Amino acid sequence: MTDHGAAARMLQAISTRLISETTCDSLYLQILDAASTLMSADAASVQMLDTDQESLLLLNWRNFHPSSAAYWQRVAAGAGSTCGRALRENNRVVVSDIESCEFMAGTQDQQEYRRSGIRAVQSTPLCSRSGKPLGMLSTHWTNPHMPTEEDFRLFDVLARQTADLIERTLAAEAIRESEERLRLITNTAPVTIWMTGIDKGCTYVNQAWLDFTGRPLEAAFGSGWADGIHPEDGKRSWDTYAKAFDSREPFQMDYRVRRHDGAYRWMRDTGVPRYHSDGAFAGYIGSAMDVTERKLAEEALSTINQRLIEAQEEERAHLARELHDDINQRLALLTTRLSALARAASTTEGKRTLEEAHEEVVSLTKDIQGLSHRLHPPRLEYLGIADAAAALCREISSQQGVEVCFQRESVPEELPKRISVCLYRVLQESLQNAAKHSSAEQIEVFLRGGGDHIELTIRDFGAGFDLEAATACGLGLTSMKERLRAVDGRLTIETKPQRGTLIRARVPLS
Amino acid sequence: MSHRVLLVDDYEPWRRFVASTLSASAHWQVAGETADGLDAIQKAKALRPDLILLDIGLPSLNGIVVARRIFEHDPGIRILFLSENSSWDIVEAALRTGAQGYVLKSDAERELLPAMESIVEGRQFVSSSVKPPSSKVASA
Repeated sequence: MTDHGAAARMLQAISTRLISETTCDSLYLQILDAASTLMSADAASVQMLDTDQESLLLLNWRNFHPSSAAYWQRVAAGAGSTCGRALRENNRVVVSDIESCEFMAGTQDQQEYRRSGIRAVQSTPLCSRSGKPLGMLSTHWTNPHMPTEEDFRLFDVLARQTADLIERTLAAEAIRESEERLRLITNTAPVTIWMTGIDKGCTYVNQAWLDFTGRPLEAAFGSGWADGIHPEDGKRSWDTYAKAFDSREPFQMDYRVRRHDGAYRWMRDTGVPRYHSDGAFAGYIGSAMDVTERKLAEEALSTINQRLIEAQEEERAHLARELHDDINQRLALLTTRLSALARAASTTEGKRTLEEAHEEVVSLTKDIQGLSHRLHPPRLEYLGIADAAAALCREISSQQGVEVCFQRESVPEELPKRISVCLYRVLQESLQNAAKHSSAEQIEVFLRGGGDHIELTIRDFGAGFDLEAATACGLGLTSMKERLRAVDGRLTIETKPQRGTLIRARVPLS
Repeated sequence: MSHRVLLVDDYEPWRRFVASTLSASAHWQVAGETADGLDAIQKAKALRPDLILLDIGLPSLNGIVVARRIFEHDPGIRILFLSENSSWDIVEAALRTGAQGYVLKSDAERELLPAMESIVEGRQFVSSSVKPPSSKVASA
């Protein structure tokens, strides 16, 4: 006769331990003891469904013969045992006497029951709350026995608790395996991987980070990861990270990090916000890869581009000077002589011929002057950047039929020639692009000196463009960027289709 | 009485042409010549000419800067730009220095002497071929 009061206390104790404990083995034994008590049974076992979904794995047992326990380590769905049958039918199976049970007759399972001194057995499937099979809880008696429905009332509560425990075990195992897989992936990845918490501090770095920096894991935690960043890049990279973090935006940035051998290497770091399953913000995760070689190649290419641009500019200026100082001067003299000859001509025919020749030479002079100016604008040299920019705005406006508003403020009277040429060419390229492609009715140009820098902005409210595509296919933007890099300046472009374009060129004056 | 003229141009054949044009008239006397911008400033101070014929494209300092410097020192002096540059923005910048005239070299045979006469008489002169452009630009 079962003591229901004691059994209820036992179930209560198991419930408490289920919540608080993480080690399962002793809990399974306690469940088996409770099952034996509730069912007045002499032996008991608990099994978990294997990942193949077709067999049961023995988790723990009480009072089996060791050989039987070994035999039942894995039980297939088609086996002659009650648990095998219960798994197949997904229903409780009760056998009051194994000697008179038809489906057991002659099976190895029947032999094992005998070896363990078992005559009666029941197996109850354990299912998740959503009905998914998870395992089996069985009790065994040494004498023929038929448990009552009343016996099963509390036992089924225990079975429910056992199912919860198995489910939790499976979930914990899945998480552990997932973490193990993640660790394996992150530790063998050829990039450094990091994670931060909601306080922006580092909570994880992978093996590649440890190998790269040669620093211990603890050194990365909190803000320690930033200690190896090059002093010149530290503030900028932290600001980029913090700004993205505060707005939960993805980010990408390049900075230099000290490697284990003391050499600074360029890293390209990409980070994205991460969230818990309930949607709560959990921090950031990101990866960084060594892009030093690529950076060096880019810089080499950029240097070559800058040199090419400068060489081209010098060559143009040289050609323009040749045309202006030599050819045009000689042509000017020729026109005056032709003019004098025409005036002195004795015949009307001779006078007319000389006047025509004079006009042709004048026209040729203008053409050559136009060519010379296109090669290298003399206005930049004679007028300075502000007046030259204003003149260029007038010229583009007149040629392209678009209104160009030019404003200037505190522009230094004298600028290094390289900077003037750079700003002039950027303005020229930007205005031509805007006039040709933006369909804007008005373009605003602002040239402003700021003490230690000079800034040129060109804004239109026209069609805008796809910056990525334009950078990939056009030399114009690349050439503008390279020109600015050559004078330590920076070009920023803000544009969106149908939202206009803002081009800003900023050059330091030192 | 003849007016004393300083010729500033880096193209020697052009200076010869101007000198020979002026020598045909008793009104004009070439007081000095130079091919260099900085030297032009020195000569303007030293010679105090009645009129300077000034090119724009010059070594060491361009003509527009030369004119500014000369006017800083002697606001009463008269300058006539003589250049083959017909861009309006350059003509405008040249005249903004305070110079009284601008003659295109290709028009010089016809316009140089009338321009010089006008200027010494206190009037301004700009070559007929030089025309301001029409545009929509607004400048502040």
